[in-house]
Amino acid sequence: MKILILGGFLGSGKTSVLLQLAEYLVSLEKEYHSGIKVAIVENEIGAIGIDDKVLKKAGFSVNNLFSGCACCSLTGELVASIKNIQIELDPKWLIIEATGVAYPGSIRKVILDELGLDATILTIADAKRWQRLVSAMELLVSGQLEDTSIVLLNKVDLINSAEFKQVEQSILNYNQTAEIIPISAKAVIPEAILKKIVNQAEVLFDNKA
Amino acid sequence: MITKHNHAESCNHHHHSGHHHGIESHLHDDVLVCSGKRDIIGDLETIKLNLVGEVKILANWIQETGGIIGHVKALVERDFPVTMISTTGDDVTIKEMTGSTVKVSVVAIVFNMNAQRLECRIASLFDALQKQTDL
Ligand SMILES: Nc1nc2c(ncn2[C@@H]2O[C@H](COP(=O)(O)OP(=O)(O)OP(=O)(O)O)[C@@H](O)[C@H]2O)c(=O)[nH]1
Ligand SMILES: [Mg+2]
Repeated sequence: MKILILGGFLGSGKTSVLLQLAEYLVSLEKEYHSGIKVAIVENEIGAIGIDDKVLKKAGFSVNNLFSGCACCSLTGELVASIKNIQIELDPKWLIIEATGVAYPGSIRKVILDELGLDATILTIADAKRWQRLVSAMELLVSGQLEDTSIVLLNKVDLINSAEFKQVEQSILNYNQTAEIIPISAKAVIPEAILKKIVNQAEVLFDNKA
Repeated sequence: MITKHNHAESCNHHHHSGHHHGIESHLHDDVLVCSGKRDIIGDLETIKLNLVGEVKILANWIQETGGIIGHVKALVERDFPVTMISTTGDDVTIKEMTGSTVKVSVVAIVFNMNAQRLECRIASLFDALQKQTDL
């Protein structure tokens, strides 16, 4: 089971990317033995789940974990849920959508420490709101960039090229090594980009194996 | 300011069970999550259209009152048709209700905002939605 963690601030576009990525993975894994090729864990804050319903309607197998806050999810519930999925569904891929206030790096660490499974992090940044968010909550949004080798800079349809340069520079200040890929997840994400993400996860997995 | 914190050490949750029926809020550090659900009786398309307007008004209100929007989401689900099955011991009756009920959920994730005020505001969003639908 290969694990991908989708991180990024509230409303940055995690679910929008997840829908396309999961669909792409399903199409790749036609040969895979288990009926469930891609399982999804949704971590939502608050009392009502919305993303899980959207993803279920799209035909995916979704487990929903509610937590009042990002860090509450980092306890037994997440670990138990992953274990359960591994045993019962045995999917080829597991995608975890973190809450928009979580640090994906912390989630990865918990999974590694508790289950010995490594995960690839994919952080999505909201290009339109980036500067505003950096001034209001720098620690959170910059912390979400840690430990990721790809940053999908989403909603580039809403910014011009000068703004793009600024945001890109700002992101590079927090993570010098990440590859920044501009996308617009409300439209179709080019297959080459999805492939790159998948390759990244494959490399990690192959290195472990 | 959101600060990274070690969860094992501190968890300052406040569960607020407000006086607004069906609306719940949850505060962690300065992230406030306020969620509510209500059944609105009426035409699906009209409700969707009105909800778009109401969400926009809610978003403006949050910003005008000094809040920072994380994400405001709403979900509209139609329960239609609705069937009621009941008995008093003899035969079982089946009743089909044709009027459409639309379940509307709203989740607002906001920073810098008082829980009770936001709960009130979301409750009035639902009231407005029902009122507009009744027109
Ligand atoms: N203009 C534009 N809007 C987008 C794009 N991608 C997503 N959105 C919109 O941004 C909002 C948030 O998208 P989601 O995919 O729900 O974001 P999320 O990160 O899953 O949100 P949470 O799970 O609540 O943290 C929605 O209104 C999307 O329609 C994009 O490329 N361009
Ligand atoms: Mg989401």
